[in-house]
Order: sequence, then C-alpha cells, then structure tokens
Amino acid sequence: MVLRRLSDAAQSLRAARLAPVSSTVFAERPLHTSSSASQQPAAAPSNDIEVTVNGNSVSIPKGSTVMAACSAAGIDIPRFCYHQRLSIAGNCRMCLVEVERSPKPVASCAMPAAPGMNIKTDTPLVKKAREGVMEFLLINHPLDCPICDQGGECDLQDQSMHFGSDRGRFTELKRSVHDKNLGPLVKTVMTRCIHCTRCVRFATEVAGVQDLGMTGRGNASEIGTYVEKMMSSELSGNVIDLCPVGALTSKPYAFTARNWELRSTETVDVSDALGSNIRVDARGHEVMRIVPVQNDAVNEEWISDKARFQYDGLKRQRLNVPLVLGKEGLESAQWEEAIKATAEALGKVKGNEISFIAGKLADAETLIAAKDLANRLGCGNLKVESGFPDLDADVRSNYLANTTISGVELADVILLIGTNPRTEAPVFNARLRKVFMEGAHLASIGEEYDLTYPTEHLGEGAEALTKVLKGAPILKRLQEAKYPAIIVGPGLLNRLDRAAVLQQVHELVEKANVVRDDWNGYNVLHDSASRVAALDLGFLPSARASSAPAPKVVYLLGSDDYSEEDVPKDAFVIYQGHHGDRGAERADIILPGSAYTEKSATFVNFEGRPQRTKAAVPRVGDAREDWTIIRALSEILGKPLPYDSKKELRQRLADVAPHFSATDTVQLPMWLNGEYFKAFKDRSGKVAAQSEPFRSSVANFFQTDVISRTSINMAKAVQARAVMPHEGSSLHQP
Amino acid sequence: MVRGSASLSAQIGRLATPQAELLGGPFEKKVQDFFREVSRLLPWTIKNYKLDEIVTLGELRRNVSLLFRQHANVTDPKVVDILIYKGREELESVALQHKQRHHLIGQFIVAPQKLREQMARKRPISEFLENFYTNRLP
Repeated sequence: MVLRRLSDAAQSLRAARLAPVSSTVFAERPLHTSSSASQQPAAAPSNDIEVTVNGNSVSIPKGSTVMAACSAAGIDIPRFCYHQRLSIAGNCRMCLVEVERSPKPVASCAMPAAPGMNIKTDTPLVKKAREGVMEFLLINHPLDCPICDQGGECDLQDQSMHFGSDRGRFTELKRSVHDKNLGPLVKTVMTRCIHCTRCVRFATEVAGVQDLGMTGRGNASEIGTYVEKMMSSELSGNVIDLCPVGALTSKPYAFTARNWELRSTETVDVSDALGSNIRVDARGHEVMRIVPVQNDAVNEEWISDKARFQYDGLKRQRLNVPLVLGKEGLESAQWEEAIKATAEALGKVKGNEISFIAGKLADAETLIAAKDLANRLGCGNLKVESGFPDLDADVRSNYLANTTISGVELADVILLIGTNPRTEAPVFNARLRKVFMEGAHLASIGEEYDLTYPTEHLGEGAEALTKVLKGAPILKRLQEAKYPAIIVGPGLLNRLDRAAVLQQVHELVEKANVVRDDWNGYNVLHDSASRVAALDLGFLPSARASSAPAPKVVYLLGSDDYSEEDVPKDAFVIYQGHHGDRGAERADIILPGSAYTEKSATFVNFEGRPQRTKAAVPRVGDAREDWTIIRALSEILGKPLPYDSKKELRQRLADVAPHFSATDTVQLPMWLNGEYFKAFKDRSGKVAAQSEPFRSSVANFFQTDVISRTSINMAKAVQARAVMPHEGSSLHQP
Repeated sequence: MVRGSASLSAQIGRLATPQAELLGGPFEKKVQDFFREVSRLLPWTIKNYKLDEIVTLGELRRNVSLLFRQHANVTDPKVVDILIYKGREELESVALQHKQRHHLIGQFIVAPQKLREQMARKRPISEFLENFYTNRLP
C-alpha cells in the first residue's frame, strides 16, 4: 500500500513535471518559499550542516528539521499532524525517531537538526515508540473502517497496518463525540478524530477563518466550531483531504464509492480563471468526486469548494441529442439534419448579420474554430459573454497577471482595485493571504469585502484612485516597495467608463514604478475560464463589428449569461453547449457539446498558462466534442476548415498564438514600456470616470456558470450561507 | 442431429446451385436468375439467423437488390460472370452458416443503409464528416 503524502520526493517530482515554469522562467529570481522546513531551497554550501541518518551522512540546510534530514536521506517518516504547508504542531507523536545521546525518542517534525546529529529510524526503540503511539491513537478510534468513507485511503488504516501492533490490549469502553454540523459540504464523524489539528491549522492559517478550534482538555478535548455554524470559507473542502482519518469527509460523496473502484484522470478545473489542477475520479461514466492535484505554480494543493463539489451538476439537465425547432417545439433530430438546418440558417443571411457569443466554459480549440468559421463567413461579430468583449487584446501584458500566480508571493505592497479575489479566485486569495502573513502590505479600492486578511481601504471608486494619484501615503509605499503589485479585478473591466479608469490605473502604474526592469507588478484578474484564451486568440469584435446591423442569426457557444440586447427577439438562435439553461431555452437549434470532464481541451488561466483537460468520462448520449461540430458545420456550409484532427487544430492554435505550443508553461508577455497604454488617453475621452463604486463581478461565489447553477451541492451551499448567522463587518485578524 | 443438419445443408446447397442449362445465355437472364436464387434463400436466412428482430423480408430483399444495383453499369459479360461467381460464394457461406449473425447485419443491413444515406447526399462527404455523423471521432 502506498502511504499518502508520505513521500515528499515523489511530490516534488510530480510538481516539477506539472510546473516546469517554476524552474525555467524564474530561474534568476529568488524563489519565495513558505516557512516550512522541507520546502527550503538549496542554500549556499556554507549554510549546510551534516547529519547522519541510519549511518549515512546527508547534508541539509541549516534550520531544517530532523524529518527533513530523514527525507533527504530517502527515509519516509510516518506522520499524522505534520503537513508541509501548515505550521508544525508536533502533537500526534507518530514521527518519533531515535537521536543518539537524547534521553528519549524525539518528534522529528518539530526538532531542528543539529550538526553531527546521529539519527536512527530503524531501531527497536523507534519501532516500539511507533507501536505505542498507534496503540494510544487506536484506543479511542472506532473500528468502523467498513462503513467509513476514508476506508482504503486512510492514513491511520495504512499506518496501523505498517507500524501498529498485531494485537490490542484495550478492553474498556471507547469515548464517543457528538458530530458537528459544518454545512452541506463537509461531513463530520468526530468520534474518528485523532486530534492532529490539521483542519484547525488550515482554517486559521490558509483559509483565514477562525471557525474551527479545539475545546476541552485531555480525554474531553474535541475539534469543533465552538457554536454550531458552518465553515464560512470557500476553501472548506480542503479539510477533507487534510484529515488523515475519516473524521472529515465529503458529504456529497458519502457512501457513493470506494476509492479502489475509481478511475482517476488528472485534468484542469474550469470553475474559475485560475485553472486549478484537479483529479477527476470516475466510476463507469459517472464523475464520483473531484480532488486537487498539487501544482505549486497554480493552486499549490488546494481547490475551491465550487471546483470540488459542482460535479453533480454534470449529471443534470444535460443536452444529449440534437434538437431542432419544429411544429411542436424542439424536436430531436439526427446530427445530419441538425447540422444541415444550422448551415441553412447561417447561409441565408449576410456575414455581418451573424453573431457568435462564447460562454464562460468555451475552450480554446472551439474558440479558434468558431473564429475561423466566422471569418470565412465574413462575420466579425465575435463576443465573449458577460462583459468587456471589446477589451484590447493587442498586448498580452494588458490583460494578464504579469507577476504570475506564484510570483505574486514576492510582492511586498499590493493594491487591489475593484476586485474580490475571495469570490473570483479563492485559491489565489489564499495565496494573497500567505503574502500578507509574510508581512506584505495590502490596500484596496472598491467596495469593501472580507478577504480573510485586513487591507487598508482607500475608498470605493474612481475618486479614491485620483486621490492616490495625487499622492496618498500608499503611492509612496508602492514607490518604495521592492516588488509592488497592482491587481485589477474583472468587475472594473466590465464598467462603461473602463477606458477612463484604466487610464488612471496605468498612470498609477507608471507613477508608482510598478513595472521595473526585472519585475512587472501589473495584474489583471479574470473570473471565467474561457476569457484569457478568447483574448489570446482575438475572439473579439472586429473593427467593423460596431457598424453591423442587429444580428439575425446568433450562434451561442455555451453562452447562457449573454445580455438581452446581444440576442434580439426575432433572431434565429443556435445553441451549442452541454447544459439546458437560458441559452438552450431561447434556441431554435440545439447542438449538444461536451463538458470539461468529457473532452481534451485547452484553457488558459489568468497568468497566461495554457493547460489541457483530459477526458475522464465519455460524452453524454449523442453529444459531440465542441470543435468537431464547428468543423462539420463548416463543411456543409461549403467553407471547410483546414483541420481534421485535434493535432492539426492545435497547430493552428500555436500559429495564431505561439504560447499555445507549450502547455503548462507561462510565457511572460512584453510590457512595451507602457507605450501601448498611452493610447488609453485618447479613448478615455468618450466616457468620463463615474462615481459609482468599483464592484466585484462575482456576487454569488457558488453559482457562476451553467454547471454550478445546475449543481444541487452548490444550491445547498448557497442556502446554508443564507441562513448562516451574519457575521459583523469586523475583518479577521491573523 | 449431425445427419439431419448434413441433409439440410445438402438441401440448401441444391437450392443455391444453379441449374446447368442456366450457365449459358444472355447475362441479363443470368443475373435475374441469380437474384431469384438469393431471394429464395432470404426467408430461411431471416429465420435461421433470427434477423426478424431487425429487418423484414421486404427490407432485406430491397437491401440485397441495392447491392446488385451497385454494379448496374457493368456490361462486360466476363465481369458479370465473375460477380455472379463471387455472389454465389457469399450465398453459400450464408447458407452453410460460415457467417455469423453480426456478419450478416453488417453486410446486408448496415452497409446498404449507409449506401442509401450516401446516395441521398448531393455530393460525397469527407472522411471527417462521415466519422462525425457516426460518432467515431475521439
């Protein structure tokens, strides 16, 4: 049996495979690391110390723990409470090792290694110590593995097999603990808890909510929420992965599958623009659960609750056959008929009377195929739904997070403008919190949100920005900072007065010297998975699109949040997508596509990293992969697209935007010395900056796209949030 | 049992063997006679291979005639002879049960259906589109 999280070496290997960028792009920059010992970078030789592990001498950086020394020597130490991204608790005592001239075994996770230390991990003393600890842990642990959801992937189960005694001596009654209600997502069976406090440390340190804690002493101590309430974090699901036993498990997954029945596929999440790496566990053609995959450059090892629990939306309201509007409403049709009807509708009108609108979940392959088809039809009305279709895409640095997601950890002063990263990209928010914990100063302009860390609130709207430009103290702080960063939210890009506000922002960027020779601190945050790819590929209205008449045929590429004026009442609507929602309801023809778990497709996250999903489950019914529908359509229209396979299509992607040729890497965009942004001055004349406050574009975190809106888990989470006792406006202190 | 089935196959073999006087003469007649021969075997084929779940006798006969019509433009008597020879080989392997049910379904039910779809199209479609319609793309 493989012990989970036991092998740091294997993990770092995997991280290196997933994130080659961290070693190439940032080679010259000092890599920012967290305080935990095992993550320390290779320091200069003078900082190394020599210790002996089981007779072999290893050299490790000064200040490392005994556990780090053992893992450097290739020896796994069993553990429950130690986790490399959390503070050290040292309370489970599972990691006891023998150190020469120490009177008793030492907890290796908490003990700093000293030069010349002689560590032994395979002596009878260590074996006895581990056996003893296991015996104590099992005293109050119920023997309910057969009905426990953690069974088969339980650290306690695995380690008791490896290190435990072959018989028990305990005959008294076991203690039992009342289960806590943590809301609709996390199930608790607190009797199983072994008090490692990983969940408590995660909540306070990473998620930044003070919801979990330990009450009582000794045998009466319990993990809980003090008063009954749900965890108010968007990252609450991660405690399920952290819990080494079955005390915290997934409520939607409860009793549905065993881990050995599942087929795992490592893929990419599309619930926000971060592109978290996930593992989709499926049984047959059904997605049973979604868990995070470690990628230090993107999501570390966390995912948001939406990414984790929205999968039940993939089973409901699916479009599985082509539908064409007939006499009795939408009638199911063969693909040939549906494609023919679509081609007829598109062929009847002039090119500029057609409009394409891409949804939040459209992949890059579909976008480029749709754009190529549109251009062949003489149509330039390409839009991305819900906001700023006309943002300039000429220069990538204009719309990307230029520091990169992991690079933001270097920042020492950060100004958030019109953004609420907690709802727009919760995992990124956890990283910002980490930056704050490391001592960075954060300030914000826009509506005030509880971001789980305090920010200096400078005002709500454009007037605050003007004030900063005129010389508020934050300007000086930014100028004096070594790595200043500005983060602009998607809400700001949605505004009518965007050009005017962005012009001010760029003035600030220049004035505060946010972009320097070796550092570009200008960041734009996005809220949907398709947005950056659309900008990269130029899926935007053409120059003449503004003078086009109202569209007579609208092609919706999974767009359900289109604005009413983009789809006139008398327009013929074609909907291509995977869920029956607003777009499908309005449609005259429905072409069933596939969801992100059913296709291999490319998505680009907000730092400009192209990542590929993999098909974890087969497509539903008679649905097709999205780009093939457009390719088929093009042939019937008599304007065949020049690619027949995904390989050729990806070559086309790479031709249009070269960074698509290297997935999982970030190609840092050019800044052009800010010359480009001077053009904003001319444009900003049209609409003056308005006084209305800057708002986040995501008001309801749990329901942002068609999958999460269809998900019952997400609906339950929204409901639970609504009845949750309202917390005061006081910001959480670290 | 063995003897019974041997006599049955002998019967069928006789059914499927052309009469000696038919071997000469104009090829239109030869083709007609061969088609009749095939048609005579169809009711037994449907029963024996349990094809009545999928197809009716009329449909199956239409399918077979479609396969005949595929060679409508052949005028060379030698080629016609060869085609009839090959057809008879097929017929025999059906009659002697050298084929299994799925062979027949593929050959005489699915393939003619595809042929019809293709003939209904104004112009031939590409391999991609063909694969797209039949959901064979990855």
